[in-house]
Amino acid sequence: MNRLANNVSILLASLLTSAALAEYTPGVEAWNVESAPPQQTLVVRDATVWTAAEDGILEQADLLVRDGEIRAVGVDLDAPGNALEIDGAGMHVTPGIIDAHSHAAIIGGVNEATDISTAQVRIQDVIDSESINIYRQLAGGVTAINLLHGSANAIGGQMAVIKMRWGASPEELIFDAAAPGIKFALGENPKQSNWSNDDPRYPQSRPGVAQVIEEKFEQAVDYQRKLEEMPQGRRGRDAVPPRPDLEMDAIVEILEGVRKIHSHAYRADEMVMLINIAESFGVTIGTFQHVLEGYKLARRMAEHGAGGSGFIDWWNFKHEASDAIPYNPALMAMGGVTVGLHSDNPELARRMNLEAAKAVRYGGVDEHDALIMITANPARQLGVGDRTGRLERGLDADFVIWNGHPLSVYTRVEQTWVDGRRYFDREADRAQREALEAERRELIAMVLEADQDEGAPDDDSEEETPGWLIGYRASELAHDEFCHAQDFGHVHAIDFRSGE
Amino acid sequence: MRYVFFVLCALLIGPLHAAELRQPLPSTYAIVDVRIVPAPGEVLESATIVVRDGIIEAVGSDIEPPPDAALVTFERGSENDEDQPPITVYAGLIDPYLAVASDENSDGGGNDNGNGDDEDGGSVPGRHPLIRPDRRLDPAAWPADTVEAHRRAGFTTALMAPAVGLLRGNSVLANLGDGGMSANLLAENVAQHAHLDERSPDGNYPQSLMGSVALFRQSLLDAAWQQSARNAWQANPAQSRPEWLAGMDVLAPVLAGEQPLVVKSEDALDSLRILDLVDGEIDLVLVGHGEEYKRLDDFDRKVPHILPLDFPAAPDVEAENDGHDNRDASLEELRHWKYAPENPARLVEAGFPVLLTAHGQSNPEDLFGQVAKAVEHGLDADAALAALTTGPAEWLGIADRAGRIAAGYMANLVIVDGELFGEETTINEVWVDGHRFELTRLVPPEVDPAGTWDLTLGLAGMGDVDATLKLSGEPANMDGILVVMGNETPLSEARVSGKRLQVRIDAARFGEAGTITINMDIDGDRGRGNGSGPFGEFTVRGTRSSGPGDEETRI
Amino acid sequence: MNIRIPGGIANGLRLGLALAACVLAMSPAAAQQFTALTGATVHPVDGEVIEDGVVLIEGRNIGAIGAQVEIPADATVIDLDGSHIYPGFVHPLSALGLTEISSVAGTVDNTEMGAINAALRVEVAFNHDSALLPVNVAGGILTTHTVPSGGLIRGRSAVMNMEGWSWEDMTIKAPAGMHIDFPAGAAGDSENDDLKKIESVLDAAQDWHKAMQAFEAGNAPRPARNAQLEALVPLLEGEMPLFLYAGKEKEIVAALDWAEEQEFERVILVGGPDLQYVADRLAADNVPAILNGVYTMPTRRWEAYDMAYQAAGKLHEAGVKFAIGDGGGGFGATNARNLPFHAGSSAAFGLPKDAALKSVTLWPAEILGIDDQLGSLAAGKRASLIVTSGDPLEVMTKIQRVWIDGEEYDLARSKHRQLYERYKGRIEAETE
Repeated sequence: MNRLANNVSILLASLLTSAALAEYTPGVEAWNVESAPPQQTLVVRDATVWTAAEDGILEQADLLVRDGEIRAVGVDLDAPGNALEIDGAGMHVTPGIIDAHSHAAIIGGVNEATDISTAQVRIQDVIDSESINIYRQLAGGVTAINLLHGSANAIGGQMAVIKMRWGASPEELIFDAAAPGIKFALGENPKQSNWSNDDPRYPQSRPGVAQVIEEKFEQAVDYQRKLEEMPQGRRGRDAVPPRPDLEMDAIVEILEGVRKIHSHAYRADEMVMLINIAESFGVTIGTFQHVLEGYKLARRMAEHGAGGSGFIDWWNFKHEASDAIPYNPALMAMGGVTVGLHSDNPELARRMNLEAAKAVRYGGVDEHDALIMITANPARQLGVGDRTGRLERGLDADFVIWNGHPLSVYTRVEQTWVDGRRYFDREADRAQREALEAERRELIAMVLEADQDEGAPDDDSEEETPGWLIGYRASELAHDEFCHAQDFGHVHAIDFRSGE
Repeated sequence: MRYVFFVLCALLIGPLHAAELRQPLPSTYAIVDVRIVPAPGEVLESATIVVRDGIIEAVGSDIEPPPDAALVTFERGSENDEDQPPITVYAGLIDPYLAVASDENSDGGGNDNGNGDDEDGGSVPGRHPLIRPDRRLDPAAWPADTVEAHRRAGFTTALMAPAVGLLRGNSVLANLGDGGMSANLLAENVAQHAHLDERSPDGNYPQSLMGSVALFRQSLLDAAWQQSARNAWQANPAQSRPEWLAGMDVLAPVLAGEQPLVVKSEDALDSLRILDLVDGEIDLVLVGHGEEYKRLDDFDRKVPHILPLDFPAAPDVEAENDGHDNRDASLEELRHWKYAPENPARLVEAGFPVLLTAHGQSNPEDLFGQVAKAVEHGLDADAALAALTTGPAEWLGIADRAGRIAAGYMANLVIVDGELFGEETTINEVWVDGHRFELTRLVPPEVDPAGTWDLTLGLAGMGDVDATLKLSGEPANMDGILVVMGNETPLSEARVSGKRLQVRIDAARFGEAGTITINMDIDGDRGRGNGSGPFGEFTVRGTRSSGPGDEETRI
Repeated sequence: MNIRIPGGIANGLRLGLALAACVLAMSPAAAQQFTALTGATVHPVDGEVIEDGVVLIEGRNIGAIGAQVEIPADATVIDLDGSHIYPGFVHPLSALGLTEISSVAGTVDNTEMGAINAALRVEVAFNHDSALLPVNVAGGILTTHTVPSGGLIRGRSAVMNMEGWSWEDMTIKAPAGMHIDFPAGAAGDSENDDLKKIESVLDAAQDWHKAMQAFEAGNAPRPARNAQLEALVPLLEGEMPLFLYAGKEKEIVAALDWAEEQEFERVILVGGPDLQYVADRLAADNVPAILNGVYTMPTRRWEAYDMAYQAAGKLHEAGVKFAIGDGGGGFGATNARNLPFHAGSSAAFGLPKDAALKSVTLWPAEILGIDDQLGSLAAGKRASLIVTSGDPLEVMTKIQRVWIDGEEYDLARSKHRQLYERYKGRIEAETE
């Protein structure tokens, strides 16, 4: 009897293991991913574990995952018998990277650049679940990104935080725990220094940007009052209600503290301005994005409670970027700001670990603290600090297995897990390449065969992406065209590809 | 080939046009000894259809033609010729989505102020140019040309839908006969039409997809608000009168689920977006795109689909032995090429109600080859026919009078050689309301228009436009391009019938929806005729500047 | 100085004058000054690593290098125990010196209008006080190959020193090459208009050269002066290399075919990650390449995620002589300092580490024809080197000190370091 039970459990275990091995195959098209990889019980053994939490870096440590959650981090952990064992010797494990500024999966335009405020538009409506950037960034260890509206207007659209569940539908990608947020923009972009609508738009100066933001906030206060003044019950039925206004609804949420401002900002003066206006309305800003001169007002930011989410070394691409310095994250951190590093670029997003390494290079940020700038801190900035960004019991099992020191230029991502599911595995990816190429060859042969039956193929079908790239979806190359104004009107592919 | 000749004979002795006699023609016919498909899945061999005053009086295998009926017979070759497909009569096809270009629609807003210079109502205060739910087809702008092209492909009824804007307006259900809207209208205000991915034509908001989605959402809120605000004000006048939003009142039946909202979807994610955006209470119908299969599992409800079948052409690849490695051949494109023909079958299999449309075909007749391909890839042939006949009839509320060949139904018929669905379907006749339309393409060419023609197109109010028409090939199989102001446009169709040349161009090349047609009667190197397009009617004069072989000799 | 001498003579003379100017600019005392860098791990790049080695700087050059070097008594000895010494990076393709703020047109000089600009020489606009130079020197970029961009025949590039008091004394080699963009449309279309345009200009240059030779031989009147055509003569004569730009595989193959047909003697192919698909041919034909950027998207959407990251490794495997660039461009120039990381990341995906280091030091020097002066640490070469906390391809590594042409460079000249120091002080004061 005992023996039989044993055999059954062995059989079950082997079934589970083979299921684990047979799991999901990566692909180049999200829709074509058969099903989500299974949620696994697993333990990574004997790895160097970067917790991005108070425990710091643990040598020879284990990570136990079950039901999509981290169950334990520590040395010599007990794991259930059916757990997938991953030998982490020589490997490093970190939390998944979180990119707080991305446009990598947005369909039909990153900017609604027409009006100075377009608070009613929602990135959530236009998420591109098919964007290859999702898979490619998984391959760089990214597990969640913040899809932001562009910077063409003072009050842009509502953002959407997604987890990199490659293959899932747009709705399933959404990270529901994230705090609602909205993009603001200050400086050259909203005041149209480097571009123009057909009819130039008010404002054309920084004071004008400030005035517009104040005006919109005041309008929202009035709108909110009208809503509150609507009589309730029977009397309400015969009262003309205020006309619904999606723009005002979003701004009211800002004033209520429900929706966080994430403002594109370069110069110190404009950041102080927005803090000043926000405080006069009792609002706390979520983050300044790019935050190039954040180091000039680090204490003011820290006192207000605004986070800083920046590039580390982009500078001088616009006049207002003249004083951008790579020491900015180090200095802001010194001043007490919650500092994150972001990509704003789908190629750069694939190697955010090296951006963190630059925080070590410039200003001597501690290596573990530098890792926090691309994991725990951006998670906090997006309101998901209690769900992801650290390797701690109870958090989502979003983590990365690296083949070496995670901040080293010579290191590669081996595996990326989201919700306890293995969405990227370099081995599986490499194995899959041949299958994909064989499929392509087979289809080509089919076309050639069909041609003999049906006559010449249609030449018009060839649509090449401008620049050096072929076959991309427009959304995959989308970027905030107002952000690097230097090349406005030209093909961005070159500068964009360089990732700088 | 021989039977074609006999068909020609049959047509040549066919009924005369009423116009030529200036008096009514007899309107009772008996189509005898034909194969009849009265409804999907049913076949009557050697049967007869009796048509009287536009209505089918009787149909069956054992029916005697009434004594007053004009007999319609199809003389064929030797009866022993087994290769010869039988003459087959189907119910006239119903296209549930025939997009009609913008300026063939009136719009409520634009006409209210009584001056004609307010195109599309863009400058009416408080109106957004993309939000025109009150737009409807103007009887004066009956799209005769589109109707004719569709009819020629066997369609006898269509839902004519406005083709521009975000909330586009109401559609009209009509037969595709002659005589304009008054002779053909079946029903007005059938459905409200919409499309999410729109940019404001004036350069203002919205200029992004997320903007047009937000505007759509706001507009539905506005429509609901208008109802409640007006009601409240009616009940209690002692308060500020709510502003009135033009055109929004017509959305009330849509919001109540009493009128379908037909949304044209662009791709799989657009479909998901529309499903997410449009409340479950609303009677939503999607005009599809052909890649539904990619995300079908994610559709949260089985809304009816009107599917175009514009399957992609094979991607451009070269034979391996050319030393070309096809490195640039896109895997994604190749896959879509392979899977797209399975799309209709997959939708049906998943339980989605499916209707088919000729929308998206550069020539509506191309639909039949595509249907055949879909059938090859798993779509049930009867289901395919139903999706063009009984299916749309039911959806459009005319199942008691259209979509079948049955007594009491409208005499809307399409008569083909053999099967309707195939690469080379030969349509002999199309009947609408008992009126018989012969297909002119069976008249053998009497002229050879090959060569280069200098055309002068006279557009009313716009003056003359010069164009060059280059035609090559045999009269029975012509190809060519039209050059207007330096832009070369391939002809979607060029045919010669008798002495008449007819060419068609997809107006999309000029940023318009619909087709541009040029008809020209050829006399030697001179031609004269007329044409029409989304921008109106025009006259055509032409002179041949070089013949087919001249060009080489000149160089 | 205004006498125009055709072809190579003029170039040689110009270089000679420039060198003379450099020598003259140095005080006699400086010329004999010795500096000994001791205690560091020395990485010569073209030789074995030397633990606790010595680099003896003699004037502007490296006098000696080794584990045992006799240090002159009057030498300044600098102890660099625990540090590493590497040659400075040679940027193979940048806009440094020609651009400042890419969105401000007034500061941008790396592109010119028009399709044919053979006569342009970029060194004349090299802004020796550009804020970009100290920032990038602080990142170890000590030499830049600054190139013109825009148009078909783009003009002549120059190899420039990153330190100096005017462009004249900073010019290391000019012209370094002619730059031609192979038109993308010319792949598979030999009748391409742009390609025809380029060919007709080259033909005209050939004709002009012939007429000039006839004139010089006394057989014909002097042809009308034409600086554009004259600038192309050294290219046609094989005295100046051609930097030929082509992006995708089809274009690279077509460009190589075309270059063969045109019988250019020295071609350097500038391309993207698709170069890996042409690697065997590049190696067989002995055509060096500049892999212009590693941090790029795969060329084709369906390709493997690391397609671009592994390009350098594939080139190396096939035996191609190559240098790694960073994509260049105006915006890229600000961050030319990230060049070594492109090489480092290539090493994560198949390129051996020593090759990665060479691809941004010695090999670009060889490709640019300045390896007698730069690219490695060797006696007789310029003493342009960096002192680091470790592997310079590693992002976390700090660059501690820099010598250019034998003189220590003040890294505090970097605007970034200045602002850092200034605001660090303020934050420290505020947080106390």
